[in-house]
Amino acid sequence: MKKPARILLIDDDVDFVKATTKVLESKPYEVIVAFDGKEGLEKARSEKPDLVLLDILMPKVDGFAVADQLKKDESLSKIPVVALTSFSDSYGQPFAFEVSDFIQKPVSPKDLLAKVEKHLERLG
Amino acid sequence: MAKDRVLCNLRWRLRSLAGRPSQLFLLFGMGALLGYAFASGNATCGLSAMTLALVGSMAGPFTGGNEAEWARHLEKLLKSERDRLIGILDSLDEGIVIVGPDRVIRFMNPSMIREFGDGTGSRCHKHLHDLEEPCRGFCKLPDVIAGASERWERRFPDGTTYEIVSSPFADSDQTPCMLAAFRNVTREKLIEIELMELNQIKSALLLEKTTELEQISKDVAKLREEKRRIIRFLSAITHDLRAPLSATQSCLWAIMDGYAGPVNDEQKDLLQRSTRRIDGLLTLISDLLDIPRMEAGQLVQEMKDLSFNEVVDRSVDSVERLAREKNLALDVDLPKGSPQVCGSSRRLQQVLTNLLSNAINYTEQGGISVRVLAAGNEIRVEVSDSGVGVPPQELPKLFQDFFRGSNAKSDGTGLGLSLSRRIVEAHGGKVWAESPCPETGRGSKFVFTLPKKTDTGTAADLRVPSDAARTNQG
Repeated sequence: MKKPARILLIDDDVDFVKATTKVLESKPYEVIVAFDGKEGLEKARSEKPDLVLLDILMPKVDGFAVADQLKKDESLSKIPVVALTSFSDSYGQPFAFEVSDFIQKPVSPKDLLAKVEKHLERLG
Repeated sequence: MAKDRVLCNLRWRLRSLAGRPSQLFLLFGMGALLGYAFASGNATCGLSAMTLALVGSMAGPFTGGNEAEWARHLEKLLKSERDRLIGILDSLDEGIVIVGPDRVIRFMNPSMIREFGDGTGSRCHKHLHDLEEPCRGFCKLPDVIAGASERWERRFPDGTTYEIVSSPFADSDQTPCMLAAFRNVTREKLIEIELMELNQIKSALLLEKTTELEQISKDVAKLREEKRRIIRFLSAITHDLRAPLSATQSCLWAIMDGYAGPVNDEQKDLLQRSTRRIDGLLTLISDLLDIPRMEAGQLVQEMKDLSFNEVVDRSVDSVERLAREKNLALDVDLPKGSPQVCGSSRRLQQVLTNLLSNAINYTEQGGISVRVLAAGNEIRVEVSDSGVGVPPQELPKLFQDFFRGSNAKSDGTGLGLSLSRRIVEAHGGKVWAESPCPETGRGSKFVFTLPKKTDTGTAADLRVPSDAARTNQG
């Protein structure tokens, strides 16, 4: 049997994480959770996930900085990063960093799963 | 005898010339020399080489001839020279005055007389400068008589100004005199003064404007800082308002879609009602926070080349759930080769999502259709519904700020359509509403256009249902 895909979800909103985990776990995915950018980076390094779902506005190390660090780390730079954005996050300036895709919050379970599947498929 | 007569005649002539000092420079010089030559009784001695040459050449034909004829010829010659010099003096624009060492005016030319009146015989300081006594300050006479040339300016109290050039001059009686040429420069001086004043005004204005500009740039910097603070604040507020709603929505959706166990129809219905209200609230927050940007004319900032079909797909995705929940059909008809536009993907999605969710909101039966036509230089997007419709007289007002139609539902700010209009206009397009069936008043059709990027494919008018076209018939 195929090894389940491992998804790292980095978001400081516990309730959002709870709901999202529930949805993701309906599929054969293993969900690793981090509640801030620092923890997210650590887990990215130790767990080497297949996909990162990354919230942008977080205290301490925000999503911009995490995405930046992931791109700089050679062992992690190939992992697709999907940014979870609130409509207001780009208030003022467009995103000036590199990610594979965006998901706008709130996201319906169907759309979330479709996006995740698309990026995992791309990995082969 | 004859020679004596000639000499007498010449002397008289010369005396009469000397008595009329209007014969100047050359003539005096020549006359004096000739006078001297004749007086000495020797026509060839004492003449300067130049005068000799001149006289010699003129007198050539008469050498050894009749002395009387020769004298007449000389007289004629002197007269014509004299007339020429008088003519020059008369027509000179400059005023010429000759003042003797006793400060008495000996001669004035017509120009000088025109300017000052005839003052021959009067005292120079009185007649020309209206002074009782010669003034040491500007009287040049002693210096000039001593051999100096002076160039100076005399400004009278009424503003009349002369440029005066004074030179030493020996009058016909050998008296050392002063010859002065007056040039009226009043106009030039006035222009000079005006120019100077204008320059002063210019400098003053420049300084004023520079100060103003400095102040403005300071104000602008302050306003920019203010704006940045407001935007940061609004960003924080939006995030804080949306985050809990977003999390709630995610939880409700997870339950509703059965990710936390089976849900019965009644529960599902209640959950649907909740999520729809949260959706409305999320849109409301976004719209409200767009007002400051709308007022600043900054709704659309980041423009790039987009595949328009993708924009439509994403917008349709975001309202699909709403349509499905109300059992409404959602038909999407896109051109085969996606037309390209230059714009903000987020903002164009906002427009389409707004039109689509309005259509779903106001439709209870039937369906909604999105049709994209790419023809010529334009993309035309039509969102039609089979809902309650809009009274024809309200159609043009729909896109005004805060307008609420008579058929409008209780929630909503009246901002969605006006934001949409501004976004479409910022992209160089137009948006309007139509009543597709005026007889019944049912249904409505919202149309907007966008300029097409010209280097797109040619399959624009080949209409086939795209992969994204879908029907969600309950």
